[in-house]
Amino acid sequence: MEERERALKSLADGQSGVVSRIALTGATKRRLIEMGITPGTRVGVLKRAPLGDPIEILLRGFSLTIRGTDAEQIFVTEVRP
Amino acid sequence: MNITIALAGNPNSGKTTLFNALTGSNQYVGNWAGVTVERKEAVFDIGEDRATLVDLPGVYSLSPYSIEENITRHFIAQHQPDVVLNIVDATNLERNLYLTLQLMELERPVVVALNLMDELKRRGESIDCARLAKALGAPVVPISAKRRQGFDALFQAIHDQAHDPRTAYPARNYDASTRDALREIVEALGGFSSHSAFDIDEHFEHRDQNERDDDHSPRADHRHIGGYDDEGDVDYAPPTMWVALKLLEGDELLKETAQLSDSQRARIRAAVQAYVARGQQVHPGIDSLTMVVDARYRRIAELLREAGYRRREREISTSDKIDRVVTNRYLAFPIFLIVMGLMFAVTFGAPGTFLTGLTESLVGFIGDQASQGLAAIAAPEWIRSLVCDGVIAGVGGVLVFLPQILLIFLFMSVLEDSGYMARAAFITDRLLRKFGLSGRSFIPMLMGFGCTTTAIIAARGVENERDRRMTILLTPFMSCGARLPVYALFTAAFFPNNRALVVLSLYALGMLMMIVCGLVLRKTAFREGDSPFLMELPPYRVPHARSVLKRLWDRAKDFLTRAGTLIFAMSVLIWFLQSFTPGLQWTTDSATSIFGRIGAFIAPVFAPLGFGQWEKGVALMSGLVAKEAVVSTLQVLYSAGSSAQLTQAIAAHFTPLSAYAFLVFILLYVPCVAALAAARRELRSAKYFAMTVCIQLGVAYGVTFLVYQIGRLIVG
Repeated sequence: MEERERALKSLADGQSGVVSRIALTGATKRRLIEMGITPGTRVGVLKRAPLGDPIEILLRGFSLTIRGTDAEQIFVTEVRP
Repeated sequence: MNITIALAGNPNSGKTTLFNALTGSNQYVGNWAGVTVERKEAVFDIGEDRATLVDLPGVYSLSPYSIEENITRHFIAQHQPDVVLNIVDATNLERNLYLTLQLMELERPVVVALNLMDELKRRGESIDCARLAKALGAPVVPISAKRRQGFDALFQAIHDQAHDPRTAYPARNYDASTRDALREIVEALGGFSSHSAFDIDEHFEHRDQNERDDDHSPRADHRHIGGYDDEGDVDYAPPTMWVALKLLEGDELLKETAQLSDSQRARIRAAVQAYVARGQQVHPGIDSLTMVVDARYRRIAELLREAGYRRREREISTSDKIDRVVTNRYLAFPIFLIVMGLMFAVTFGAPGTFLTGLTESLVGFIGDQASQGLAAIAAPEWIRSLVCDGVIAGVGGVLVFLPQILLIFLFMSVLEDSGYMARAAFITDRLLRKFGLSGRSFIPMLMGFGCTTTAIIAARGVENERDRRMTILLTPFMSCGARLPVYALFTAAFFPNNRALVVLSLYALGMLMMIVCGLVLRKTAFREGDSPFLMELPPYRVPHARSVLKRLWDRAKDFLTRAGTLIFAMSVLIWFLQSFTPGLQWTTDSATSIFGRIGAFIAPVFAPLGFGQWEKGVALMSGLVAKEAVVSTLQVLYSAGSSAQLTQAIAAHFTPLSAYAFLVFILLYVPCVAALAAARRELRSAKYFAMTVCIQLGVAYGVTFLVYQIGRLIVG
């Protein structure tokens, strides 16, 4: 059974998933994939700012902070705690 | 031999540290032609060679989307530096090597400086630099920029690349599918031109890794794509292979500037479609750009494997433990407020005021000495006035800011280097984004309550240009400390029982206008760019004294240079306007001076605001020199000997309503010349500067008009 896609933003702190698609366009998408957020990459949520946004994520051995509006458009599968 | 070295790397990779370590203090700082990004250059010797090191802006990739990226790519492709020195953060290899691959695609000789090797080892990881170099096709030298280690080997590698340049074929970094597509596009472009030193097959031939011929140094074939960049060089000609890659990625701009025939376009489109179809068998819905990016990352994984690098699972580090407290949901803001409070207390409280007082005494002493000296040699009165009232008072009035600016920068440097600044931006971003700012704007905005000039300079910490300009534009709405004497005078005269409330209402009005302007500008002139907010939370590090002091020194030097040039000229100009009549007669009566005449001329403009008398107009103009000068000007103009007399005079010349309207105008109109000069410099754009001034004047006039006219309806 294929696992359902979830927005990266919906992952709890400490959870990770494998990027399936990025529903963004233009420079925003380009910037995110060039930072290594390509399909098939494992991305985990490290922590959130006290007000819930931005979100610090971990991928390819480095961490990166992105805004919730962008994290909403990045979808992941194979969610693991 | 003279060699040019371009220094490129990711932000936070230690690029500035390496630049300073390599070049010492003999740097030249300017701006890139036509754009707003700092350009640093320095000359130093490598053996018998004279090297010019050009510090390129820190970038993550070479996409044509930001000014920084354009500068970096354009400089390497067009100015063809002899060596591209690429600094790579060894603790963040995958993302840093992404830039390395892109740099190598521009087909200039690259030297990779692998920084922070000591930290990599501390993590229990290792990498074989020789094997990485062989796989990559460029020398890789382990260094520590901070400890100045590995520089001899680095110089040797630069020397070798400069005298016997070797570049690897970029096509080899791609998988078979991508190479096929590239070959098809290169052939559609007409192949490599006949005079090329190497042929297309060699470019694509997939050789055994051991056979990789580093002894080959292809002279890259180039293709003209004039008009592709901001720079507008018509003869812009990056390598053909690079053009093919961009076409494969689907770069819209390049499709226009590459001047392709219809048949070429069709052939390229077919090649891209076939490529995407192959990719979609694995990842449905994937596009060619994502595939090319992914191919680079897969190549990086391969390179790291060949170099024997194994990434250790991320462990809970000291930084993570600190972050659990510092970015904790309940503790983050209290800690932030304590840090800010401390910064404020030191800068604008007793220690800062003490240093400012010291500087003031020094300026006063110099003024007295000059006055006495000029009297002793019987210099004419106007010369004494020019030197003392004009130059020394004007330049000195700005110089007194220096201690506070240095204190603020000491704090900012320490906070930045320690890693806390990034956390401050992290926790405040959500709040500030509502007003079109970002987390990075918080500290400058807060400092605006102390001194606008300092705050505008501090806005340098805001990396994104749009956010930085917004910050500079909005900071003056935070009521600065110099306006307090004016508030104190007027509230004493009119609102003795509600002084705190009235002053508080002004501060609140300023913040309200900041929010309103922020919201409006975000929807109009400063529309949210199509670029995501990306930030790194670097590991906490103990700040390096040398780099902190270096930055303080740079800042002081910069400030003093400005005080000696621009501020000097402005002071002389204002003195001239205050001391001469329109008939160029020397006068001590402000009413007859050019300033007084202008005041009289513009007074009717202020009539609808409730203060249409020339004295008030002149007072507002003197407020341009420094806000507190409004008080001293009124004192002179109303011939008030003591502050009690001045309070009486104010009470006689204003009504409570016009007094409040006057204060509102003081709060909102353009800041002092020192702040304006800083804004002009930091905005680095005449257009945005003009816009800033217009917005501030417009808002001040409009709001004061409303306050006075609505007030009149209510008061009757």
